[in-house]
Amino acid sequence: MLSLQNLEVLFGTVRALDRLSVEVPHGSVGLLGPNGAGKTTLIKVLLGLLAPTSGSAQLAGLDPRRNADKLQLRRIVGYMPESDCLIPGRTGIELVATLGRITGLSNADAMTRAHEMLDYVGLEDQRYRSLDQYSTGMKQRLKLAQALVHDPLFLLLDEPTNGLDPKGRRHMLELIEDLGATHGKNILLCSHLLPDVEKTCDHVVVIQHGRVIESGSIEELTRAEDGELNVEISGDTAAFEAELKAASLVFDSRGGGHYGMSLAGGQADADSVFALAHRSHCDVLSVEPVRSSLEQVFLSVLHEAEGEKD
Amino acid sequence: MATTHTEVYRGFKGQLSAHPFRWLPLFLSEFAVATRKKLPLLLLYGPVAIATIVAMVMVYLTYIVEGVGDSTESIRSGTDVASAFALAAVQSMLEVRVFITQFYDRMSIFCLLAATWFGSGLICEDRRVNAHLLYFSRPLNRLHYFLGKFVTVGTFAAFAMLVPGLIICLMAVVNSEDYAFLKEQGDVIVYSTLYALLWIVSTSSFVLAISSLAPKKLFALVGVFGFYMMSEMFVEVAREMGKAEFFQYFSPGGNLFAIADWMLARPGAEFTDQVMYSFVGLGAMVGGALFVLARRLKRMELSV
Repeated sequence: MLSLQNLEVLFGTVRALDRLSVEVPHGSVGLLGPNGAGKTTLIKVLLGLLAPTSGSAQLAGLDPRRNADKLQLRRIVGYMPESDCLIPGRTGIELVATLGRITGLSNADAMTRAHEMLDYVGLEDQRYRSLDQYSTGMKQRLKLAQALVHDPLFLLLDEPTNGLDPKGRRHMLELIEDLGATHGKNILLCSHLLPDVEKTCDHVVVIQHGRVIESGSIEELTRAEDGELNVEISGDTAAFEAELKAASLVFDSRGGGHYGMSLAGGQADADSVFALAHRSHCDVLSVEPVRSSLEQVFLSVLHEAEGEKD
Repeated sequence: MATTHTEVYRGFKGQLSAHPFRWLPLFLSEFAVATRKKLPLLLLYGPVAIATIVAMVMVYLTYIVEGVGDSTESIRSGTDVASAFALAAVQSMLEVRVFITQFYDRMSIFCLLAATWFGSGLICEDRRVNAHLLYFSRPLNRLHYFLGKFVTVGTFAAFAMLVPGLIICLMAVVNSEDYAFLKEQGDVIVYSTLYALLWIVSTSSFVLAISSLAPKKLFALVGVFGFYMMSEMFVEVAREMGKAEFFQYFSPGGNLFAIADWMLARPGAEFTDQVMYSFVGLGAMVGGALFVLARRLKRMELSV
């Protein structure tokens, strides 16, 4: 979907993107990074809204630096900016329909699509209200509707859950998940909220100080560490703990029959847990490998990157 | 799956067109929004409408009443009837001609007011709320964006000057015998239309350039009036210092009125050096405004 080669953007002496190179597959991709990492800058480069100082960027094989490609690219991309962007004085339906017409929809199609998209994002009752009266949540949904009005192949979503309450955030994430999983949209979700990315994306690119510091599928990045298990048992926990000590296993009792264990022998040792439980007349309720959360991965790679920089 | 909304996403089965008039939806949208508030329309176009109606009546009366009066006078003084009516018709047309040029001259202030009110927020408000991100993330280039805005402000300016002027010209043509006004005084229609277009193009350029520099509409409004007033004051100061010959060309209004003296005072008006320098002065200012616009729009699209 996205190919970046030594992409560099300078704002005076500030290096917003620093020789950024990455290949991103199709699907839902999270672009993670702390504030000021260069996420929005990258999105603007992809849309041709910002000229890179050097290097190249291609989205769907189109180079946003070339004028013809740029216009073609903007036909197949829907962009949801981070800032409000909504001009007061217009109604929701007017804004979405006008942007549809500018993208190339006929008058009739633009109006039909605008109604459909406002229904889809849940603004069916507010479509004729002036934008001045929209709440933050409504503005976010309207921005998603305008990004979808021309049915783009790619969606560039810049902080789509900014300023939303928990219910609004859940709704927005459900919409994004639906668009990616059910409707096959290729999504580049730019966020610093890890749970948002974890919920909606298959792949993640972490950038800091304009450089890619980690890239891969979420499945890979959060894969279980060998030998780390969470175990839950019921029965005589004291006898079970005695058996664990006798077997020289490292464990951490969390109360209520929950244990965290570090087993050097991997699967073989995992089987021994069942044997130990049986010997101590306990029932094993669950054995789960411990997975790193995306947050742990994110903090870990940031920490490593900071360490390298120092 | 999305569960909190009732509608499902539907794909678009048609084709996106690549028509060259991408600025048209932008213009129509801006025009619709600007005309939503009725009070500015009433205040700006009410006087224009009244002036137009009064002018139409006066043109009509010039032909009917004065024409009859003049011919009667000629017959009394011994001229034969046919010649008397012909002479009266010519005099009426000349009076109408002068009237039309004066009408255009007077309407220019409304052109400036309308363009300033409706145009000063067009670019700065987009910048203030970052709406240009929505426009430029679509297949809309800077030229389309400029045309969308320019045609919007130009339309409002045209409704204050060109359209009323053309209505008066039409009135003069249909009231003249066998459309004689069109055949004999047709050049005044051409020149007055060109003069109105000069006002529209120059004013729209200045207004949009100032709008692209201002952070909000109020500042742009002040900026436009400040630009016209300061340029006049500058010329006045230069005149007081005895350097009026050169510095008078720094005033857009002064240049336009100098051009009007040549364009609308035909036949017999000479294309003097002063007129030429007024064209050059005005052209340089419009060129400067378009240059500023080009730079600002490039910044808006490429380094937002």
